[in-house]
Amino acid sequence: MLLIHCPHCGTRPELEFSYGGEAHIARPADPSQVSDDDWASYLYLRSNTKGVHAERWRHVRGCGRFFNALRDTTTDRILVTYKAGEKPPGEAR
Amino acid sequence: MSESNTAPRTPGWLSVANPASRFVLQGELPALAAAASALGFESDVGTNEARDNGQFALLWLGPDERLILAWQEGARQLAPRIANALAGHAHSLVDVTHRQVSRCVRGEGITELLNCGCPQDLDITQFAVDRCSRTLYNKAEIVLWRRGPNEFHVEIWRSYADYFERWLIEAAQDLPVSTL
Amino acid sequence: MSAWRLPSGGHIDRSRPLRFTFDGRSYTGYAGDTLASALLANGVHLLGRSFKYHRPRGIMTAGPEEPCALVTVRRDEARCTPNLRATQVELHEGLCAYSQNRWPSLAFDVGQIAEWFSALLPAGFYYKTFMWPRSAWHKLYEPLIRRTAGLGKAPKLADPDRYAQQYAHCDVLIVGAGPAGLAAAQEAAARGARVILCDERAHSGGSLLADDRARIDGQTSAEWVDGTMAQLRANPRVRVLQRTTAFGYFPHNLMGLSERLTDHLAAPPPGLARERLWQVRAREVILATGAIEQPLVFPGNDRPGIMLGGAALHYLKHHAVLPGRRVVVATACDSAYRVARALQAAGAQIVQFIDLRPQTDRPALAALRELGIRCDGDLRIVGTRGSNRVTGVDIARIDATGAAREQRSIDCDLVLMSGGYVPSVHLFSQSRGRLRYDETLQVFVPGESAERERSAGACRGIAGLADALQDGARAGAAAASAALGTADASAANPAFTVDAAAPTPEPLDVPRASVAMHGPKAFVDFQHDVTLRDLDLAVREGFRSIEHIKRYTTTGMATDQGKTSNLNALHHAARELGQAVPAVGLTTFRMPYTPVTFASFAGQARGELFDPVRRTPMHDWAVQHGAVFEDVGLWKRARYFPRDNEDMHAAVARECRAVREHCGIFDASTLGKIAVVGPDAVEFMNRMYVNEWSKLAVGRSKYGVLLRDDGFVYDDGVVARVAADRFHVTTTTGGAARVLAMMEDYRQTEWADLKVWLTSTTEEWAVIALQGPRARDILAPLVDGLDISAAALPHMGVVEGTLQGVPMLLFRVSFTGELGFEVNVPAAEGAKVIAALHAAGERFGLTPYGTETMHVLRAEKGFIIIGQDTDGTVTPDDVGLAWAIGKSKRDFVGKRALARPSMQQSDRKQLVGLRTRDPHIVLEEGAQIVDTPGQRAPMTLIGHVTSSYASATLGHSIAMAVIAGGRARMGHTLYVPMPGGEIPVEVCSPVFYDPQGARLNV
Ligand SMILES: [Zn+2]
Repeated sequence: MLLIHCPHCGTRPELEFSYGGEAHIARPADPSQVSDDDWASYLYLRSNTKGVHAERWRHVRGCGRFFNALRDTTTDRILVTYKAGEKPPGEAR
Repeated sequence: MSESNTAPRTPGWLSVANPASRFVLQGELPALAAAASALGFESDVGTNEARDNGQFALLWLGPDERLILAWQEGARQLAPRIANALAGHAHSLVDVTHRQVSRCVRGEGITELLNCGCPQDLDITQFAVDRCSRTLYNKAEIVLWRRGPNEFHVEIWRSYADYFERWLIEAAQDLPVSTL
Repeated sequence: MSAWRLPSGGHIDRSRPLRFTFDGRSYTGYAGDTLASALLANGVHLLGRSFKYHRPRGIMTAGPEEPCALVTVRRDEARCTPNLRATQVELHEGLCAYSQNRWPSLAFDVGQIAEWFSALLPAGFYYKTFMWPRSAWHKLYEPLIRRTAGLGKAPKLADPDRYAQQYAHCDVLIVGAGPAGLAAAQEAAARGARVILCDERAHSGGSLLADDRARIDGQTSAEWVDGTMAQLRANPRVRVLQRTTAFGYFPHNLMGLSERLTDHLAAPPPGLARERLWQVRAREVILATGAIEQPLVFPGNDRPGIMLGGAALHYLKHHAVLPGRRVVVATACDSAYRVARALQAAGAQIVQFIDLRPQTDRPALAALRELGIRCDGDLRIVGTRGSNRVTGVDIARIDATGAAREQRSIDCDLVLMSGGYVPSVHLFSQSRGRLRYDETLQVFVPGESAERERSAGACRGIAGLADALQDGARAGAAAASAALGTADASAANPAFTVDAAAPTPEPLDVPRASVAMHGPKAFVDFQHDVTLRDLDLAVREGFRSIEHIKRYTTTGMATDQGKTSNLNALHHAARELGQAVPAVGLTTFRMPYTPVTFASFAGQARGELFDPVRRTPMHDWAVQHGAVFEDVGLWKRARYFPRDNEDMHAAVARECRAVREHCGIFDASTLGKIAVVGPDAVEFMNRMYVNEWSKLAVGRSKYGVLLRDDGFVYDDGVVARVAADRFHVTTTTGGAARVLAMMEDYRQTEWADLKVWLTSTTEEWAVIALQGPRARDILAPLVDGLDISAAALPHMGVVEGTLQGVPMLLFRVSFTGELGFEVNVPAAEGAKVIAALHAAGERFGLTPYGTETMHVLRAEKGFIIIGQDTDGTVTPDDVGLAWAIGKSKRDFVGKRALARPSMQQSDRKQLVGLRTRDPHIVLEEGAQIVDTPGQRAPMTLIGHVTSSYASATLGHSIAMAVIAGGRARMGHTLYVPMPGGEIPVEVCSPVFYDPQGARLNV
C-alpha cells in the first residue's frame, strides 16, 4: 500500500485514493473537428511507461479532488504530486 | 431468507450524536467564507479543520466543500440564512440531514479501536483535537472529527452505520475501551 | 527430570511441568519450552518424514528457519494447524501435536519406498518422468504424487476462532529484539520517537538467549535484556510486540506483522482473537533480524540427531536440554568451538571435533585438545548411519584426487554442524533493497536501501556482540533523528562494555562450496529434498540462471524461502557453472518470511463484516411482509413477497397481475441520486448526458441516457429539474457510485470552469413507487391537498409537497407502463410513510412487489436494464434509445464516438424482442442465437438472450435479445440451440405490452 501525498490534504494511505490512468490527456475542445484516428488515440492509446509516469489519482475517500502524480513505475516511488490543471514540475522529469 | 438486523448491545463508549440537520456546501472560497460568517464563525475553516460554535459545526471536507451541522432544532431556517449570505456567490447547498447519521465514540483506547479500520495515523500528535477528515473505516466511508483526546465524532451514510458499529463492537473484544 | 534435561539453568520454569502428547504418546516438558525443546528433553528426535523421499527427519534448528521439524498441532477438529515448525511452537499444558507425511506410522513409513525409487524422482521429475503416457497423468501419477509428496493436511471445518487486524504508525519500527534491535529501540525511544519493536519469539534477546556468559555493562545478558525491556515497556511511546513475525515488507515502509495471541495458552480465553495482523506504517525501519546458521552439505546430513551447532547451544542454554551425549561436531568456522566447549561443560562427550578447513594447526584446535576432546582439521564426514536417529558417522580425509583416506567410523547420538552464520536479509530483499556480496564473509549483505530503512547488527554482517550493540544504538539514534527531523545523530556512540562472543557472521577462510562433501543424499534444501546431485543435474542439463535452477530443482522455494539452503545452493551452482557468486546472483526472497494464516488476512472481515450490508429505511417493512431478499451490490433488496406457500414464480405472477389490475408498492430507495447544482448545472447536464436539457422546465423530468466517451451506454435514469440551477439526477442502483465518480472526473478535470457541484443524495431520500391504475386513488388523499390530477401532474411531472406533513418530492414516473408515482421522502420518514401508504392502499388491492416483478413488468414494456440488456458495447441506437439524443447539441460525452463508421453499421447487434413458438418455454438468459437450424459447432452466433421471463399478464413467455441486424429481422424465425435441442423463436418488437402507452397517460 503506497503512501500518496495529496496536494490538498497531505500524505495519506493509498486506500483513500483511486487511480485515474495516464495524466495530461486532455479531451479535445471540439471533438467534431477531430479525425477518427485521433479520437481513437484519445480514447485508447496510452504510453505504458517504464519509468517516470505522469498519472491521475483521486483522493476519493478524502477531499475528493483529482490530482496528478509523477510515479516511477519500476520502483513505485512517487516523485511529486501536483494539482489537476497544473503542469508537471519540470525538475522532477 | 431471514435477516438478522439486530446489532449487538450498544456499549457505553458508543452513542448517537445526531445534529438537527446537515448540509453540504460547495463553492469557491469567497462563498465558503461568506457562509462561515453567516453561521457565526470568524472565518472559514482551514484544511482538515472542524469548528463548533455551539450552534453550528463547520467541517472541512475538501478545498471547496464543507459539511455544516446544525445542532439545534429550528435549523429549517438554516438554508435561507445561508442562501441569503450567499446571494451573488455561485454555490451548491444540499440538505443531507438524512443521508448520514452521527456517532460519538469516546473512551480510553478509542484511537486504537478506530485504527482497527481507519488507516490514518490517529495519534494525537498527528490528528489533533478538531482535526477532521473524510476517510475509511474498513469498507465504509466516514468523516472523522476529533473532539477530544479520547473522543471522536463520526459521520457515516446511514446504510453503513450498522456495519461500522458491528465492526467497532467486534474489534472492542480485543481492544477494550474504558468508557469515560 | 527427564534424561536429557539439565538439573539447573535455562529459561524454563521447573515448577510448572506441562504434559503434552506427540503422535498420541504422553510427555512432560516445562513452561518456557518449545515443542522441539520438550521433545529433545524426552530424547525424541524423529519428528517427521520428508516431502519427497519420506526420509526420517528431526530437529535441525531452533528457530523459524527450521526446514524439517514440521508438525500438526491440534486443539480440536476445527483448530488443527498443519506445517508448524516445532521449533516455534510454544509448549502449553495439553498440547497435542502430530508428525506429518507418514503412513502407517512415523517410525515405519510405507512411503519411504519412494526413496528406493528415488532414481525416478530427480530434479525436474515433475517435468519429465510423469509426462507419458499423457492419459496417465490425471488417473495415476498425479494422485500418487499428491499422496506421497506433500506436507500436513488442512482441517476440513471452518475456523471457529476470531482474528483481529490493526493499523499502526510509528516513527521507528524495529524488527528483531536481539542485541542490535534492543539497543536500537532504547536509543530511538530515548530520543522521543514513537517506537514499535517486534520479535517473533516469546522472549526478547535473540542470540543473547543462548548466551549466559555475556556481560553487558556489568550485567548478565538476561539482566540487561530484562532491564532494557522494562525500560521500553514503561515508555508510553513504545509498543513492544512479542510472538510477532514481520512477514512482509510492502512499499513505502508498510510492514506486515503477524502476532500470535493465544496459541501458546492451554486454555485461550473464549472470544479473544487468536492472531492479530498489524499493518505498520513506519517513518523509518530498522531491520535487526540477525543471522541464520547454515548447515553443512555431506552425504546423509539429514538424519534425526543432526542439527546446527547454534541450535544445540540454544537448547542447552535457553531450555537446559542436552540434545545428545556422544557428540560429533563438524564445522567450517569458529563459532562451533564455543558450542563444543559448552556441551562438554554440560556433561556431553565430544567424541570427535572436525574442522573441515585445510589448516590442521589452528590454536583453537589445540585448545580443545587440552580439554580432552579429540579434534582434527581437514576432515570430512563422508557418510552417516542410523535409521530414525543418527548412530554414527564415517569421517575421512579427502586427498587431492578426491579419494577418501584414513576413513573411520565413530559412534555418536548427535552430530552438530556449522556452516557459518548468514545475515537474514529476507525483509531487506523484499523491500527491493539491493544486496551486496561480501567477499570476506562469502555472504550477501544489505547494500543500497530502497526504502527509509537501515539494517543493524548481524543481519548486515556485523560480527560480535559489542559491535552489534553499538551498531544497533547508532541505527536507533539515526532513525529517530531522521524520523523526527532532529539534528544528525552522528554524536551517538554509546559505549557498551561487553564480554562475550555472540553467534554472528564471521569470515570463512575457505570457499564455501569447497567444504561441501559429495555423495548420495547430500541435502542442500531439506524442506524440498533437494540434493547436491539435483543441482549438478540441473547444471548438466543446461540451466544457467539461478532463477531457473531454483525452479527446476525447487530449492529455496515455498514456505522455507531458502533460509538454510539458498547460500549453499548458490555457491555450489556458481562453482559448477564456473562463475563468481555475485555473477550468478541470488534469487528473490518472497514474502511471507514464515507462513501466515489465511484467517489472519481475512481478519474480522467474515460473515456480516465481510462487506457492508446496506439496508433501506423500509427494510423492516419488507421483512414484516415476508420479503425474500436478494443482494444487489451491497444492498439487500426485496425480491418478492411470497404468500402462504407460493414459490417465486407464483408470487411474481400474482404481484404482476396486482400491478396491472390494481396497484403495487415497491421500495425504490436504492436508486442512485445526485444533486447537480450551480449556475452552470444545465450546461453540465447538456455535456454529460445525450439529452437536451436546456428546454426542460422546472417541475418536469426526463429519461436521461449517459454514455462514456467511447459512445457506449453507461447508465440511465430519470432526471428532474427542481430549480433553474438544480437537477435531481437518478442513476441505476449499481451505477450510483461510478456515475458520480465519472461526473466528478469531467467536472474537475475537463470542465473546471463550470460553476456546478455534485452531491450524492442517494441515502437522503427514501423512495416508494406506487404503480398501477389505482395509484392516484391511493395517493391523492394523503398528499395534504396537493393536486395530483393528470392535468396538474402529467406523466414526467415533478412537484414538491407534503405527505401527511412529511416533506415530499413527488415524481410522476413509470417503470412498469402503468400510471405511476415515486414518492421521495426524507430517509428517516421512509418506514412511516410506506406503512401509511400501504394501509391506505389495502382497500384498493395494493400489493407489495419486489425486484423480480419489477423486472418482468419493465421487460413487458421493453425497458432495458443497464448491465443486463447492455454490456458496455452497445450504443443508444443499438438498444432503441436514439430518440433520447439531443440532435442539435454540438457535443456531449460519447457523441464523437457515435460518429465513427463502425458505430453506424447496420449489422450491429440491436435489441429486439423474442417470442418462443412454444409459449411455455422461458429461454435462458445468456443463451446464444443462430439464424439457421441444424448447425454444427462451431456455429455462426448472431446474438444472445439478455432478458427472459414468463409473463403472467400476457400468458406467454417474453424475451429480449441483442441480435446482429436485429431490427431488419422482424418476423424472422431464429433458433436458440440448447442441450435439449433447438428452440425456435420469432423476432418481434421488444415492447410486448401496451405499445401505444395508453395506460400511462391517465
Ligand atoms: Zn486530499
